[in-house]
Amino acid sequence: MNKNYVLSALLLSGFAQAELVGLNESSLEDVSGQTGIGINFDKIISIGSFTYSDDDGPSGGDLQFKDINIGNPADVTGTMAHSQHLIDVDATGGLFIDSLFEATRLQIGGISVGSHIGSRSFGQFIFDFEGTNLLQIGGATPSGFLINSTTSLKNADFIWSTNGASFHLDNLTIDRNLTDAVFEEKSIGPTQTALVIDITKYSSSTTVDGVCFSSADCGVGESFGSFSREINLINSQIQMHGGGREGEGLTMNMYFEFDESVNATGDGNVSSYTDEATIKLAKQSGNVTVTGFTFDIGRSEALIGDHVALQFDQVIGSYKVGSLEIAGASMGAFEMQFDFSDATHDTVLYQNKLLLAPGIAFAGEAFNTGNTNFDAFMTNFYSKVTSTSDGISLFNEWNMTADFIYTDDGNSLRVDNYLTYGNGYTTLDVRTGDLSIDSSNSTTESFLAVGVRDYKVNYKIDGLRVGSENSQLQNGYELLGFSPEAEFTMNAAIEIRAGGAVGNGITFDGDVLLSEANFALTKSNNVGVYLDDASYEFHFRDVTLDVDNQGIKLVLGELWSEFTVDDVRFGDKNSGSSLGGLIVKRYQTGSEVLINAGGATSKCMDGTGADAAACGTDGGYWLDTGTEGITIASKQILQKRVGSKENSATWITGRTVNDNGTPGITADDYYEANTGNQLKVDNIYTSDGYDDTNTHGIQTTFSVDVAKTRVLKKTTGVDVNGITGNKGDELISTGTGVADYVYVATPDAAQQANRPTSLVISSNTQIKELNAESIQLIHANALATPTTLIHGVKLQNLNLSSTLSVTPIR
Amino acid sequence: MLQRIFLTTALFSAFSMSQAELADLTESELSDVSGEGIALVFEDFQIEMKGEVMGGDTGNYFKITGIKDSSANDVSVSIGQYYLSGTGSNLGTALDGKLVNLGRLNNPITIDVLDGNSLSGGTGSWTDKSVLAIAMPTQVAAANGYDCTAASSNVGSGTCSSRPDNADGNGFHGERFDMGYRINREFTDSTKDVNLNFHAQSANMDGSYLRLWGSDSSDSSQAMKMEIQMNFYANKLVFDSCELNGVTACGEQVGFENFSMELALGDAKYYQPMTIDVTDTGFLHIMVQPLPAPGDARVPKASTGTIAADGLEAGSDGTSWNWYKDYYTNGRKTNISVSNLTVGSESFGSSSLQGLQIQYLEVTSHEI
Amino acid sequence: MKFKYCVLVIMLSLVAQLHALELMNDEGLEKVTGQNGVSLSGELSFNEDGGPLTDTIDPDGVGSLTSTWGACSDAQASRCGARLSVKLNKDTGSQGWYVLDEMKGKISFEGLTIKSREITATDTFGGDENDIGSGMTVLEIGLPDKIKYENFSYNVATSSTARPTDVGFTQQVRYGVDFNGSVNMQGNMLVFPTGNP
Repeated sequence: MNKNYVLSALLLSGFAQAELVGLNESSLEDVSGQTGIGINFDKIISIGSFTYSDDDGPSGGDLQFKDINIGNPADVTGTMAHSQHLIDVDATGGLFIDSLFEATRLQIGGISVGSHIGSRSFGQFIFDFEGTNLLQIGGATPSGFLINSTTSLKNADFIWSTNGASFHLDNLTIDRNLTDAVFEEKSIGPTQTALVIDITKYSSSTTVDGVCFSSADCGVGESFGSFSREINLINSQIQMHGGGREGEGLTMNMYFEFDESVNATGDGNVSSYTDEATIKLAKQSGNVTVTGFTFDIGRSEALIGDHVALQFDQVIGSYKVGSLEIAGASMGAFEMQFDFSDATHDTVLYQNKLLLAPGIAFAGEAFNTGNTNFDAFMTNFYSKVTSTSDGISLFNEWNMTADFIYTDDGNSLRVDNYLTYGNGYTTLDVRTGDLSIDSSNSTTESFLAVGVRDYKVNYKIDGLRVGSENSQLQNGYELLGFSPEAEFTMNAAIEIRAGGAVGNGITFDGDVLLSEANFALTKSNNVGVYLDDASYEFHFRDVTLDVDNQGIKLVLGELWSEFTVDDVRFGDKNSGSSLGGLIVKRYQTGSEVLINAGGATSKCMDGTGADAAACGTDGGYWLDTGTEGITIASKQILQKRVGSKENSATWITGRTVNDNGTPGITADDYYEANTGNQLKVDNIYTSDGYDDTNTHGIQTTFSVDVAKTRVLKKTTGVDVNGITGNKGDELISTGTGVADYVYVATPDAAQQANRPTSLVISSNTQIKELNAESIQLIHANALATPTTLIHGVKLQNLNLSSTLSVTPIR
Repeated sequence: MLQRIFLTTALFSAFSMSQAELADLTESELSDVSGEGIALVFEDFQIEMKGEVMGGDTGNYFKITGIKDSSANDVSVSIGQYYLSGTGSNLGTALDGKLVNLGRLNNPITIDVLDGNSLSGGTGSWTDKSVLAIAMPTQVAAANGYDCTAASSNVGSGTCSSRPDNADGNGFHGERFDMGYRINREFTDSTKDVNLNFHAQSANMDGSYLRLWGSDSSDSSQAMKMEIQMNFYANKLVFDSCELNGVTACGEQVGFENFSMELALGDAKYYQPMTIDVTDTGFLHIMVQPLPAPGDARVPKASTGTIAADGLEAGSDGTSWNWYKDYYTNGRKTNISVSNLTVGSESFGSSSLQGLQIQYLEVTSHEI
Repeated sequence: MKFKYCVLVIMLSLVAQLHALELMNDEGLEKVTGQNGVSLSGELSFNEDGGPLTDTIDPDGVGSLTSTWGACSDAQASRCGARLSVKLNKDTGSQGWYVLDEMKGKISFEGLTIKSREITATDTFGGDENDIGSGMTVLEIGLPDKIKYENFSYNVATSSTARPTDVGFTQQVRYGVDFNGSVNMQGNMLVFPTGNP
């Protein structure tokens, strides 16, 4: 029997739908008398297919859900699912539906789009749940419907399966409360009316006990861990009307605002991930305005074909995490002010959209990225699936500008004017363990396969501002290890498994290529030092992520990579003078990274003293780094060369340029292979200092804080902001503006409290033994016989600590 | 004292060709500069370290240690003052505002990996070898350069590219530096302490370089090989000795006016690299490799490669004989000259050492 | 966005006045028209109380070690600083190492600046700024006012083996360096590529 029922209440979790609410005594009290209708619903429902279509001729298509079954989880086609519903009128004359659901399963055999229907599917979906739902519909003043609803679901499971392997959200608990929402059809513009939902208050609490790759319950050590989220919104609104971006479809505008009042006590609005210990994004606040969000069925995308098209015109707002905690300690606050809008860069338009198509678009294809070594990995990855395999292929494009603000013990650091745009393709599917690219992985453990193809990414930042948004722009990101401007094309094949090094966690294997890349090392205004025509190929096996009492721990299994730069350019990123090329190869096993909250310990700088008073007396100043901050501890174990995997660094210069037949045009010139002269530091490896045992590696602890430091004037005279002072005077802040400061020769205690806020980077590096087998000079006519300049370098027993304050140039 | 100069020059680390060979080598130098490499220029530079004994901050000391006297007591060389600044510093006593540039934007200090085939005409030790070269600014054609030792001059007066103060009246401090050391030798018995001072005025090191290249298993020796050109020009070198504070009760000054040193160590074209290594027993070993003997595979020959006992061309292999003749005529040589040696107010006139060619050198340290 | 324009106005008006201000030195001129970049101040401490090698392992078991690693405060240990050895030859009889030994101490500095800089006609290089053409970009490293050494010392030595714990280790110290105090400096170091791009 094929019936087309609209089962939106169960399929869509939007606010507009009748939600599942707890059946409780107090709601019954409002029920007038014992009138009303009680319905018991015992069901086994099966639907051949349900199709939504926005095909209006010139655009649009079909979205098909097929083989839909609703029944008891024990046997969805054979055993009934029971629910009971009480429908009544309450004291205010409003409608009242109180529902109780016993164990129910919604199963969808396949979802497909447009021309893919019949051959490709997003996979199979199962949603099990039980719980209660209370829905009250009354009249709103002056008009519209006033909706209140409470939903409580437990023992819920969500399973997505492709090709016999499953991804499972185990034991979800969902509690939602919608208070005084007004649903009304009204005008939102001169020619447009919409369904407008004004939400006075909404709160939601969700927990997921386990996430794993198995259709059975997640076992211990087999799960990513548990997740939970509590969110409270106020004063929010959703508008919906028909008509998509092309022809028929759906368009929405939305405004959401976090209820900040709940952050006053406890974690407030919080999202958390728990393994052995918890990462918590607590005290969330902010708001977001979404304009022109459209839902359409699109046709014939170049690589993924017919698809579901989601796009928005603008998403603008701010989002703040008041306290990011790792294993109970706080790192500080993080805030993002963002604007996703359309923009044009280099005559190309970038919009914000996500296109979803069923199946795996690149299954069985051979790859040609220009790097034959890497192509073999990608081709192998996609050889494990076929053109009819289930999965999700997606194309997304974005353009965003943002400012990021990190606050450490009340002091803030702003990453200013971040711009990013790009587009690319990704495929997602779950595979059985025997299809892994790493044959050492368990064949019984399923995993998520993520393929990335031709993902073109561009980003840049103006710089950093420490203190306030009006502080002077400065660099410093070079020391934090990130590039201020980059563009690259990414191709990758990554496998994600559940389970970490110990117990729950996440395990990664993958091969990634960043090509056609350009990375800035440092820049000021529009000139800088850039790594041009760069390519970074890296491979990782058995990388595990766990969270325990020490923090976020990554054990890096085996890593090997090759980073080549054709030109290190000074000046313009594409045409500046070149210093030559670089090749850096890395090979590590057993390395570790530990990220935890809390920065460096406070100390006396430029003097000795155990506290601020003693330090000041000695002529130094007390650096108070507070309790928050970020610390990253790493251990890198560099291995001796094995085959083509090695640690080495090569500088190549004096290569012959080939003008590619176009003498006047330099943009297409290239360096002829096997030309030039090379200086190579070869076969770098660590050891424990006495023989070849290699367990210590290079151990570095790196901390980032934002704190008040002493800044002295470098020369007598007027500085870059027009402020006068003498050499050696201290800079004392008088406000938050870029020129709000004075120079004082000997500041008193009150002035010392107004020292400027700076980025403070502390690090400690310990090396028992670091070796380089040789330093070589290699001539183009003798590539097979490099000449050795130095026959060995050995660094032992290094313990280097540094504390640097990083301030703008004034 | 040479060690001090070596230390400083090692700090900047660059050397170049002697003047006699300038014409040939300038051209081959220019063709190498078109490769990519790292350039350094110090702009408005000055550096000074001053020990407490000579007026520096309390607690300052800068010592060179490790030397023992005949009774095995420690002797330390304490640098009371070291300075490098622009000209006119009055022997390091008036440093304020005296700044210098080291290297010019169009002729900087360079670090580069060069193609050995384009150096020395493609023959010699550098054939098919890459050479790491660290060089001070090169010397230039006489029409574009400045006199290397004069305190003031205009363009076209010499081959040095580093300019003296206010060259051509341009009001710019130029690239010639004043440099000096005031050193106290400190003994365990401090009554024996002595002060010795050395200053260079309006100096430059144009044309100096250090070239390094390696070896593989087919080479006769696998030591790190070097060819060094150390040039040091100064308008005046001044030596004196004073009280331990370096400035009072000074004795007579010894001056070397218009001092020019062009020291050539190692010669790659004729298979005479300079090598430094350490023996198995931990002793330092420095060598300028000997010239290859007649008949050695590296010496070009027509047939037998022998040289007659009387050394004349008539009885020798002509090609080999010409090769040796070329070595003696054109091989790298050292020149040192002073236009006037003065002691106090007395002048002793000029002296010069020209054409010194090191054909073999071996130095090994040993335990006393 | 607003403040950027204020700064620009201030900077432009300053530049206009600069030609009249003889006291303004070259460094100041260059700074006023510059933006971004970073100024670093701080300290580096080498092996303040030794390094990670603290064992007295005897790897070949042949007997007492002449050299033992440990903490600097430990009287039993014979060495606690960092060590860098370089081997210059591979010939028989010449396999010794050139060594920078026992490096320890503290170095602190103020005002080391790093930024990218374009050479323009307003820079002063005695005329070279016009010869090289506009648009040459250099990495400008502004030297710190002073570098302060605190009991910073190391030895330069020649050694028979790389590790002091290896069999047959013997070493001669050529000279040592022991610095305590401030070295004053000023100026910039400019780094850029040579030759044609």
